[in-house]
Amino acid sequence: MEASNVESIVFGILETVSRCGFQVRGDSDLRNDLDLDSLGTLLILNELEDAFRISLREEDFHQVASAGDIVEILRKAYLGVPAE
Amino acid sequence: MTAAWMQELRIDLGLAEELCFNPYHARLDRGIGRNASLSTASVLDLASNNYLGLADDPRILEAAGNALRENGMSLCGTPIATGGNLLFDGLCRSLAEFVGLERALVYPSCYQANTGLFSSLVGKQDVVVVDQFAHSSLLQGIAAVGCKVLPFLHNDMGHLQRVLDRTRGYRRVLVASESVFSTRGTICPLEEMNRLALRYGALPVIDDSHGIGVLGRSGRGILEHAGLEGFTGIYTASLGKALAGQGGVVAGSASLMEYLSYANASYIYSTALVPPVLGGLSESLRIVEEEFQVRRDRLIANRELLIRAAEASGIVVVAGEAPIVSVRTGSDRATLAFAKVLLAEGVFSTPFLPPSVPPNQGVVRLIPNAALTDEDMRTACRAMERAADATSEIRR
Ligand SMILES: Cc1ncc(COP(=O)(O)O)c(C=O)c1O
Repeated sequence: MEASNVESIVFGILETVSRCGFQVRGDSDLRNDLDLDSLGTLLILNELEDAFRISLREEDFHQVASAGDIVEILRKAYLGVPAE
Repeated sequence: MTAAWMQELRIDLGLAEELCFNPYHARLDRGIGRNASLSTASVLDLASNNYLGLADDPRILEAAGNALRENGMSLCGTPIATGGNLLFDGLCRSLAEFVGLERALVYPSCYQANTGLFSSLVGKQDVVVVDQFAHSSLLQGIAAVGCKVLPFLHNDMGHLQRVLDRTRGYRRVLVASESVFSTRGTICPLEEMNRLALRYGALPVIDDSHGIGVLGRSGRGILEHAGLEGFTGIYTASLGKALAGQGGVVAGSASLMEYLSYANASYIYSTALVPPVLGGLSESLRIVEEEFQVRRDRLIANRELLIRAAEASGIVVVAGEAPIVSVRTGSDRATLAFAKVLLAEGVFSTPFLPPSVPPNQGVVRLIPNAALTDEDMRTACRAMERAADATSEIRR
C-alpha cells in the first residue's frame, strides 16, 4: 500500500466516525473540528485496526491532536516509515 | 509538596464567571415540583428528571412517611446483613414484576450499580462492546474491568454487527447500551441489539434509567417498548427519575441475580436504601400502574408544544423520540448563555457541556414533565424564544 492510500483510508474513517460532513485534512483537529472525545478516538483506533489488519497501541493515541498525527502513527505501524 | 498537585485539581470556572452565570449546583429553596423556587424566585422545572410529575405527589409522601414511622430512618446495614426487610424485598419483587423479569435487586444508586456490575461479569480477557454515547456510569464500570473495549457508533446496528464480528476469539462478550440517551432523547433499537447479541453469544446489558416509567404502552420501560419478552440479558435503571425516588435496580434471571446478591461488591458492601424511600417507591410504582396513560399523554403533549415552539423560533432541537427536548447550542458559551436567559425568564433547564457531550456539541435539555400546565408551557415556549433571540448564533 502507498503512503497516500494510508492517508485517504485514515481520512475516510475519520469522516465516517465523526459524521463531520466535510473533507478531513491533515490539520483537522480531532477535538475542535471533528468533535471527537476519548471514546470517539478509541472507535477510530478500532476501525483502523480493522481496516489495516494491524494491532495499535492505545497509549500512542493518547497524545494525538490532528488527523495528520493519526496518519503518522499508521505510516509507522503499517508501512514502517515515518511521515515525510 | 502537594501544592502543585492541588493546583492541578482545580475546575476552570472562567466562562461561568465571565457570563455571571453558573447553572451547576443551583440550590432550590425547597423541593422540585409545581412550586419550585430558586433564591426565592419561582421557577418552572424543566430541568429535573421528574418526568411524570410524581416527586411531590401527596400519596407518595404519605407512603414514605408511613414507612419511616413503621421502620425507622435506616436499617443501618447492607442488603446481605440487616439492610433487607419486608419493604426492601417487596420493592425488589414489585420492580421485577413491573419490568417483566424474574428477579430484581435494589442498589443505593444506578450509578453505583453500573460502576460495579461489569467487574462481577467479565474479566481482563473479555470484551465489552458499548454505544459510543453511553452514560458515564457504564463507561466507568467497563473501564474498571481493564478489558478490551469496542465502542460502536451511536444506535448504529450495522456498525454494531461489524464490531461484533471482531469479538470472535474472546472468552466472553458483553454488549452495553442505554435505552434513552439522556442528552439527545434518542432510543436504543433494543430488539435488534438483543438479536445481534444473541447471535454472537454475547450478553446484552441495557440501562433504562430514562425509560422506566416513560417508555412502553404502560410505562414499564424499554423492554415493553421493544416488545421483548423473555429478555435474557441484564437490565439496570435509576429509581430517581420518572419513579421519583432514589436508588438503582438491576434485574434479570433469578440465577444471575442470586449470584450478584452474593458476589457483587456494589450491592453487598453498601448500606441499603432507607425505608422512606422504599415505601415511597412502592407507592410510586402503584401510581404508575394506574395513571400512566394520562401522565404520559400530558408529557407527550408538552413535548410537542416545545418542539413546535422551537421550530417556529428557528432553533435546532436534537430530535429523539423520547420526551426530552434538547436545544442544540454547540459551543460552551452559547450553551451557558441560552440557559442563562431561560432562567432569567423563569425556566430552569439543564445545560450539557463536554465531557457530558462530545466537544462543540453542547445542548440545553428541557424535560417538559407531566405536572406542567398549559399556562406553564406557554411561559416555557416564550422563554425559549427569548433565549433564541439573545443567542442568535444557535439559530438555523
Ligand atoms: C443513563 C443513566 N444511567 C445511570 C444514571 C445514574 O443514576 P442514579 O442517579 O440512580 O445514580 C443516570 C443518571 O443521571 C443516567 O442518566
